[in-house]
Amino acid sequence: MSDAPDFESVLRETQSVLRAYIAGMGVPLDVVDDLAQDVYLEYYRGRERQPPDVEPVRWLKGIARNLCLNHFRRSKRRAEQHLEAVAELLERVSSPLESVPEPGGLDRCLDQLPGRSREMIASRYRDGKTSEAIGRSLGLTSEAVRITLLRIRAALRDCLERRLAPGGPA
Amino acid sequence: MSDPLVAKWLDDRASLTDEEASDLLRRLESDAGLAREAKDQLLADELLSRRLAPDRAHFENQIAQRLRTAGREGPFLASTLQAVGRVERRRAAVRRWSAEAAAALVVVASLFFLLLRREPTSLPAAPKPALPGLRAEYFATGNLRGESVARIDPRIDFAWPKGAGPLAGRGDLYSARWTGKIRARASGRHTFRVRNDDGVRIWIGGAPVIDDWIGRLYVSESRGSFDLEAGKVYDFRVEYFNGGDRGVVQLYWSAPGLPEEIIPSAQFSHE
Repeated sequence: MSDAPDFESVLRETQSVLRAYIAGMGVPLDVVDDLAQDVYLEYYRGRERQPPDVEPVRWLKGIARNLCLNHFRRSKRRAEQHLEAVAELLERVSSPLESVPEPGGLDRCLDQLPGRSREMIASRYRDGKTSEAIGRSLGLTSEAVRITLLRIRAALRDCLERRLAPGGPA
Repeated sequence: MSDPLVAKWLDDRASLTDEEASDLLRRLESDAGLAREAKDQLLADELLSRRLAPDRAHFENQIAQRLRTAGREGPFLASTLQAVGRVERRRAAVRRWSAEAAAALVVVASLFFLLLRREPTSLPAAPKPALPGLRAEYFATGNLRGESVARIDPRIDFAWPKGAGPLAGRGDLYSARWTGKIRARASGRHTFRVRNDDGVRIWIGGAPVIDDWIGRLYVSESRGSFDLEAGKVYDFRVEYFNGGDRGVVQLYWSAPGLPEEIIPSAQFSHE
């Protein structure tokens, strides 16, 4: 009997890391989950090809890397060729946020944000509004919304890093 | 960090021009600190989306659904598949109810027309009743030309094996056009995803949403977004072609609060 973990366990234990891995290559958010699903389907179909000494997550990342680069190559836009190179570059950059096990860890950091920032984050991520729409409702330009979102995400990153550090707050 | 180019890229990848994308690459290559910041931003962006976006909460079910569609589920995720089955049964019940309600509507509308015909008046002509599903035209060519065969399709969810296309005995070269209306179930940005082999294109309200009109050897995925208002009806048109071998065209949608699903027939109508 094989000692290989069953597919359900692999999926449960790796999906968070894998979805972050794909997003970390600059794949648009609305494509990340579909691409991740393609990765798991490919993995499921070809599990017998996985060498026994290779961790499932490493094998999955290998599949994901190829599918991500294909995603950029498939586009007819020339800009996507540069974004494919950006993806390859970012794939080699490491970040402590890659190891956030579940997005639920964000909640305490979100709680610390000022009300207006929380409102902007909810509009963007919960309601799926564009920067233009958020700007209209808050009396800001879309550029100002983009920069503000950038700063809010940086603040959340700092908060998460503190929590992930050994001895950091729970 | 407050780099406008990085902010624009994070906001909408497709909005970057060729020059901007080239500039972004050059700057990330020459500045390791900026590359690290960009990576952190992407990961924070993803974490926020996964935590807050309702349409990203069904990841395992969607994988189970896709394996089921492909007929490869095997021993996979028995509990997940059962959960998907329960959802499907609930949806089927809703679909049955919708079809019966639509049939009743047709009967009422038909009686109304008969009454109008028996007593000619100067009233303006009543609008034709809307019937569920989309009007489909199938062509034995790859370019939507020539004689067509018409029928009504409840939804766009087809996987024709090689040698068994929609036009019996007419080979694996074919094209199709579906026209009608689509009624939104939710308000906000809708994502339309098509699994297609070969090409497909979609218009809503006359505006192009997906344009992937190329031949290929594999099933690809095309997607596009469009803002819809709940309850509102929009003109809807899909064109598709298959250049040989098997043919696949399966149309999904999702929106805030609406998990991804094959667009059900109750949301389509035609006159």
